[in-house]
Amino acid sequence: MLFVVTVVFFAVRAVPGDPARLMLGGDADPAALTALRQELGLNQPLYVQYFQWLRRLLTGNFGESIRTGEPVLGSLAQVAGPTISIAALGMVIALMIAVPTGILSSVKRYEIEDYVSTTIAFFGISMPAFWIGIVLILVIGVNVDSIPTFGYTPIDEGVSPWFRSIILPAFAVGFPYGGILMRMMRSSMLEVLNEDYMRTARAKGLSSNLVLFKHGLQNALIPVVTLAGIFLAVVLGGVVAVEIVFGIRGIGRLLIGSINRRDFPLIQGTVLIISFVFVLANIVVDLLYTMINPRIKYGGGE
Amino acid sequence: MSSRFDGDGGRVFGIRTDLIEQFIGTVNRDLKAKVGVVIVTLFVIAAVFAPELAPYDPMAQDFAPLQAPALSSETPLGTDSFGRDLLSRLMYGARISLGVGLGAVLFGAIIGVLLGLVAGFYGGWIDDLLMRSVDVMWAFPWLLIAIMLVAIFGQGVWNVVIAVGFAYIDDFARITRGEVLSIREEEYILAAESVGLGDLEVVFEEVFPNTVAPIIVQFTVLVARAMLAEATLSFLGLGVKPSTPTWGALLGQGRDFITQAWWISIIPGVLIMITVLGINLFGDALRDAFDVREVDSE
Amino acid sequence: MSEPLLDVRGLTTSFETGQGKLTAVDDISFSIGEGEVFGVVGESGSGKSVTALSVMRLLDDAGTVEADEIRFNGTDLLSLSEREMRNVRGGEISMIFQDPMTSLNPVMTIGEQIAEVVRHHGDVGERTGFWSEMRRKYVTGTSKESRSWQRAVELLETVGIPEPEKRATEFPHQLSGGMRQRVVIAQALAGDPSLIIADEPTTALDVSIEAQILNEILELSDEFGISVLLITHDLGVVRETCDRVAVMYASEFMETGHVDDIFEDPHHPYTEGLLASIPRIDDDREWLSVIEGTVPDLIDKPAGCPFRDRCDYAFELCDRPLVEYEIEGSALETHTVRCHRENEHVEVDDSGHIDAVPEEAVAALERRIEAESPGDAGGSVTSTTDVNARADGGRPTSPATGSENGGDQDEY
Repeated sequence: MLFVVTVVFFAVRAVPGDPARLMLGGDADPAALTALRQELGLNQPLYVQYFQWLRRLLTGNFGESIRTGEPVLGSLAQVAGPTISIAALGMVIALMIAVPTGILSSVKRYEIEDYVSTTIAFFGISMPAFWIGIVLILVIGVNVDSIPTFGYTPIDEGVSPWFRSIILPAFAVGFPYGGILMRMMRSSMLEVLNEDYMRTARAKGLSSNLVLFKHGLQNALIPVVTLAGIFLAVVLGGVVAVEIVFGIRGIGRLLIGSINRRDFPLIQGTVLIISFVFVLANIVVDLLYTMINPRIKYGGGE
Repeated sequence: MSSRFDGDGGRVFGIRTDLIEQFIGTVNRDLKAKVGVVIVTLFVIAAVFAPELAPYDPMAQDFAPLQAPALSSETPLGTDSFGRDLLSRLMYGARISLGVGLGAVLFGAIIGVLLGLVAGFYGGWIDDLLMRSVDVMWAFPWLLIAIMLVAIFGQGVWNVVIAVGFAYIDDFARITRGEVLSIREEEYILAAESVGLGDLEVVFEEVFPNTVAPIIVQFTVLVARAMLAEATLSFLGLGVKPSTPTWGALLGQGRDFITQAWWISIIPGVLIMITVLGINLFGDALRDAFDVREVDSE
Repeated sequence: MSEPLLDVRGLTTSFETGQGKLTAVDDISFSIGEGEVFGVVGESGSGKSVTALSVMRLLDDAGTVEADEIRFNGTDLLSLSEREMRNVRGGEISMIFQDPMTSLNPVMTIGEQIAEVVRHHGDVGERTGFWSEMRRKYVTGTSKESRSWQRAVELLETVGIPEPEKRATEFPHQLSGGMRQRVVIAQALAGDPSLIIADEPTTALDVSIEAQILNEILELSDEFGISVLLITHDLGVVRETCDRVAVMYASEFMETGHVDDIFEDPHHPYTEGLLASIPRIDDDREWLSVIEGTVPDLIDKPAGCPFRDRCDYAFELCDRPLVEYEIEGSALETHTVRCHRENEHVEVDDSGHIDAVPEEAVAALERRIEAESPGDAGGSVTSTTDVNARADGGRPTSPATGSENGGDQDEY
């Protein structure tokens, strides 16, 4: 984590451009510029800035936006709602599509169900999320009045409006992720179907559904869970772009905006928080992995 | 059949010719593979010969803005808000897409494969150190890497190439290392060592050619993903310079006119989709031909 | 002799492959009496495992199973519905597979893997519906108080696993190979079967535990009066464990009879060859014998004896369809051989070779082939079918062109 923090700090500082000049305009008074730099701490040597920043981080202080003066954490908290909502719903949609169709596809290999699902998954992995968003706006948003194509309604204004405001972006984010997961689920299940223990289960006289879901499912999910963690980045990348498409003020828009304005603390804070959430998500995935794979827990096995 | 090409026989650019034969076999058998090959070929032709094939200068504001596509008109795919011919811009856009896609993955592949070869071949603390660093990258979402790198180095083709490709180093490093580790155990490497080939010779003569199949497959899949990444970056305004015609940027600019001129957004979007689809089909055909597993339980 | 427990007549199993039809089991017949241990011995790829899976109807769609009948306890297994067949599997007939490493589910506790068989086939009054089982698997777990779990623990104790209560809660990877195979045995006993099919039960194990495991299987089957169909490639194992044995080669049974008859008085050249290749302590041979040549291609297999190309005694009749000859004077059980050297009109000289084939021999053979044609189905018990006598037997006789030996059909 320290590594991430350090990389983020120096990477962000390497961005060319002087925020003081940006704030005051190109023809600002040099004295005012110096004063502002002093105020922002930009005149100190880089390593001093680094350690100051680090010390504040440890106390939970991510600094203030150069531009608005608001605390970084506060600005992030304001816009985190829509981003989290979209990402979470997107993942739910992806899993709801991917797991059943992946299983269906593997069981009905080379039959019509397989061809239909793999084709849809193929489109899923071949379209950027923002493009799916645009198509959804054109096809559904324009024709279905009850689903808005712009903006976000917080959940405390009612679950239904909230849900309607994020269903399209969530689908746009979830579809590519779902396509990836579905393909993994399929090929993982295909391998499991050939395992000896599946034959054993059938030789015990279990029904084919029990063989599939009691003996097969958990084994098939093991590699899928790992890869699902790796591909969380797809969800993240999707959310950033999709927020722009649907005009939703989320973390993605905040990040893009702060880069354009060279708002260092805000960039640093945002990147850090996203990385942190990402690391956290991967820890959750690891936990899930040990939960469904007993071979890990005891360090034995192959 | 394949035994004819075992061992040292028949290699083209270090790739065993039986792999090429297997691929041709797959394409002959599989309709999806055929579609993939056709799409990829058309796309590459459009990209490479854009200057010859494009009817107009992509930057010239020659026409009335926001003309709708019509086959009969001078601008069959319409014009953008500045009156530039969309067809020409799209053809030049293919160049950028292909260039960035290939370039980014090549960047990731060269560094990643080298890291993987070294880590897998030497093992020990070198392996630990390299793979730990790669693991850290894994905890870093690619879009952030790309956004940060573009923010650092500014916009421009090479910066986007590096920004996008950076995220793929770990993929290649991991695959290469895994393959090297499994091949290392095989006896012909021991045999090569026992006849006194040096480390480097063993790596390049024996190990590398045998890791080629999974790497080619991964390469293809990542080219598709790199193109999506480039499109996303361009769409966010963080890609190649805004005036450059890339598919992602065209799509992003068209979004403002989506109600008056749907084609500016839709056509590049469809093109991205078809091309990426084609490359993915191509990659799947390669995967089938080379018999590379998609899911690795490790 | 009372009706056998399992009576298989004319079992033929084939697979459609890209290169043509692969006949993995070719018209075999055998029966297993109650409490009997019947061995099927042969090289890998000879079709032993497919035989077992065919009887259990466990081959997937790729395989076609045909037989005059597979009668088990008076019912023809081929006529059962899938649901009825599920009651047979694990309940009436259970299986022990080769590799305990891969045949146990890695993510389920040992106790649950045994207990589910008890629930499905025993009389413990626990629900076995899909949702009940799913809830047990993913939500509640199997109750340690449930009768099925307790029975599982008992069974673990029966097969000689120490600390059965603790072991029941563990996963397969936490046990040694020998222990795992004991678990598999317990699992096979859990449904209270009358027949256990053991498919190479010791091949994947260390030689040191092989005997223990075999003894375990035999003692328990003896104790509970269970018949055993033992599939193996190891003649030594057969000699020590089986009552009767069938020698399988290239998807066909070459010789069937009591173990003592087969070992002391083998009639088929292949059986002789197999026996000669076993090393003996009192051996003074410098080299072990080997059978020269390779197994024939099972894809579009031609009629006639499949062993003829490797046989030292091959003669004119060997490309004729095989029929079964009964060896007279065998003291213990019926001893049958499928080799034309046994034709009553053929003169075998002292070296085992045949100089000339008299007309009567050919005529007699043709009469038998004629007599066993499909019109005569359901003949006497001792008469058996032969390759060309079956309705589906009209295989193309063109020689196989590929170079593969079809050796891996055990995989199916």
